[in-house]
Amino acid sequence: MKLRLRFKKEGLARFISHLDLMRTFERAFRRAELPIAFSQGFNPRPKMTFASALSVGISSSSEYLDVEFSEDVSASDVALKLNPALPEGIKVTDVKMADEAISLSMLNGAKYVVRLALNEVDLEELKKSTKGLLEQKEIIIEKRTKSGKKLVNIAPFIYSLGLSNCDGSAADIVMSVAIGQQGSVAPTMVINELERILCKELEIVSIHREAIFYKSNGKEILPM
Amino acid sequence: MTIENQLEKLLSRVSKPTRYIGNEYNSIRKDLDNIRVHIALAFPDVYEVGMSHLGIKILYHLLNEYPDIYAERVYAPWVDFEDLMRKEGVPLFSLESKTPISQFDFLGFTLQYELSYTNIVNMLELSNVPIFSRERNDSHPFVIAGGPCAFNPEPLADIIDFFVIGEAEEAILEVIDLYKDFMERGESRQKFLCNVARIPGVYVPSLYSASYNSDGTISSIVPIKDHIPKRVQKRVIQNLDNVYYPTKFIVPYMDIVHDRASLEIFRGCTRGCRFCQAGMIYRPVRERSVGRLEKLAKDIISSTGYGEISLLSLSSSDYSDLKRLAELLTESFRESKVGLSLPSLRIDAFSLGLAEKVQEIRKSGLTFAPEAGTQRLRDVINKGVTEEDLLSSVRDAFALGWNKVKLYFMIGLPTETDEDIKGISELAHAVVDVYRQVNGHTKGLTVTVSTSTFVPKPFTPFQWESQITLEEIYERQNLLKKLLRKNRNISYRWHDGKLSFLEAVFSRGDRRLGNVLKIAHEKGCKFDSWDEFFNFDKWMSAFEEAEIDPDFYAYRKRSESEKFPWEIIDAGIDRKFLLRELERAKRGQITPDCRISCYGCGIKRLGDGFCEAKIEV
Repeated sequence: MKLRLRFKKEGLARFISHLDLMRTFERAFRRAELPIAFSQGFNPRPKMTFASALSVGISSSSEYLDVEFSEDVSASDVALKLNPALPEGIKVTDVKMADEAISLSMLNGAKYVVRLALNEVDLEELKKSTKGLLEQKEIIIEKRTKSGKKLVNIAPFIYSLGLSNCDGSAADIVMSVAIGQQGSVAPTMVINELERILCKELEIVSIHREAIFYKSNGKEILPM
Repeated sequence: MTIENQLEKLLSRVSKPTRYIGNEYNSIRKDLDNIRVHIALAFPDVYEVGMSHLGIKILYHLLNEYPDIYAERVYAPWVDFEDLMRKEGVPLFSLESKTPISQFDFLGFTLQYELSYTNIVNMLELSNVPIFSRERNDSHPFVIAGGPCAFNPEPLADIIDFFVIGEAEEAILEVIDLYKDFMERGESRQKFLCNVARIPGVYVPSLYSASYNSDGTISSIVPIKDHIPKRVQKRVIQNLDNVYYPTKFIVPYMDIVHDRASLEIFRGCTRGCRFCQAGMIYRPVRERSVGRLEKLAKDIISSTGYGEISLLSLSSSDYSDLKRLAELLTESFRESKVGLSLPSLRIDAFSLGLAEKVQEIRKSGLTFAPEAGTQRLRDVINKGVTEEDLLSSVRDAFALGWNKVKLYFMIGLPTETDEDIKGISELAHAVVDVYRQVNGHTKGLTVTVSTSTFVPKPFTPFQWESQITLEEIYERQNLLKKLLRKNRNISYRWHDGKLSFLEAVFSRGDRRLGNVLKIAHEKGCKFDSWDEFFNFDKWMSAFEEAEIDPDFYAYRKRSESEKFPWEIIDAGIDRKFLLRELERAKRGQITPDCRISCYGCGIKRLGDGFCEAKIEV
């Protein structure tokens, strides 16, 4: 049976890389004595699939993981047993039967909140530039690929961009952007563009991923 | 701003930030207000190396069993993070509570290899703790050290406040008990050092003075106060089944060097290889029972979730009941897919049978350590492996489908000639021939020959011997390169001779080297065991500035009557025994495994019923 888990990755745990996170979960399942299924063959691997990798240093309140179990387990039992076996900062918040209609590999969008320290940046100016950025038809950036560098237009992959929680010294940039194979925008790319428009440096206090979703026909569908 | 806040800002800018975050599963958190003794356990290398070391893990969990003691970890920051720390004024801190190291009661280093010594100096500097013990006062932690290199503590005599020699599980608790009294009475640092020096196994170098002969050799190292032992005897745990062993090991996030559960099956080794320091200083052999090991293994896996457990010892094949142990463990872990790995396994018919079930060996290929190329030289070093043994094991392995073989050798062993170097090449070629005989071809076969350079070590029969010169190292390596180049199945790897030279200087060095360490550190030497950082020229100019001739330590053949700096330590092995072994080596006479008959090494002095051998020769 296959279950889908939603989990948080916060505090210093946000510095754990994707590869290390996979190993962390494998070990946590073993500590929790939950019977995960393994692949066949000489080097058996646990049958776990993660949603899109989260960059090192970014915290998240909703990451997803599909796990296959070799025996039937109850969803509530999994959360109950797994949480004490996870290190500080990683916490399972929901467990359900995996929704086969939306596989984790289909997820193509994410919502980020970037906390900025305003320093010398004027709030009005920042508002104007985010609006301006969203209206641009073309935002060309240089991406590094395996075969070298290439120019990409990221404008179509920025779905929404706005400001919230502004006070005198800080503000949140809230953005929905594409992730995955078809196109992918890192929140820092958007901030770099804003810096370019403002001709000023922006100080990032923190980056948080709030949601990952499947965007289809203008609708954003959550995996659970 | 707290260190934790500073960290949050800096960690996005460094490679592998999980080296510094702590918070790993099973790491221990305590309320600093409720503890009395705070000790930082330091490994003077980067996290992934230090976290692979068993000794510190044992002490960490042992000390933390006591509610009023808090042991935390600290490792050498990697160079990118060190640069940021210096720039932003972040002092070296502990992984658990992120407390500056300077605020601890003790800072304890483990000394695993000599080439980590500059990292100790660097870590002291990053902690804002004076490098030399004489410059520290009541506000500073006691800087202590232990581990195999502490068997020659003298090169660090000016830096370390005191050493704990031998197995520390009991001694460290005695030290801490004394420290609690010391705190209650509010006594001086000096008073504590005088008292701690009376705990068996503790060496306080500042309470001893060294004098030298006109030729530079040691005349004497003697206590400068009354009631201080003339020699410090190493500590030994009598019964391994009764001593504490942790089960809730910390599980790191990042992939460390040995990323698996470790289970120590026995201590000591009875083989008596004459070059091997571990084989001498960890005597006598003491085993854990199968019953205790099985219980420990299960507990460790359930509390760590590791997918692999490694059985540790100096020579796993010598464990009396290895077959039963391996069977029990493979059986217990079959369901949960936990693999068993057995490093330090002698390859023979039995171990190959075992290896068929054990993944790790198959993945990494088979490793043999004949150490020397000819039977003559193997007899000199008392490495009880014959060419027939090796080739027949290799034949069995090839028949079972293996096609990767690693062969480890040393060059520069006492009495070595070009014939012995040629012998290395002949042995490698013989392995290829065996593969051809078994398979009819040599496709897919890789034989890797690795050589390191022999370093004479304290408390071994070769402690009187010289190291070969750099020129000789290069000549012998070049000869091997030439001899091995022709065969496409054989590849040759060699260890940088300059590193071995430096290791030789510090292994048998004395307290005059402390100043060299300081100067080398000032010149930027650190991570010396890492090829990308090792800078020989800086080291040579450090020796020059300190007016120390390194050749004196590495190249000088010692006379039988010379007093050695490390003889302030009693390792339990008698000098007379070592000399006898040296004589036997020169005659090419082997000394059989001491489980069969006893050759009177002296270790029996340290405890009753230590050795099993009935016959005394």
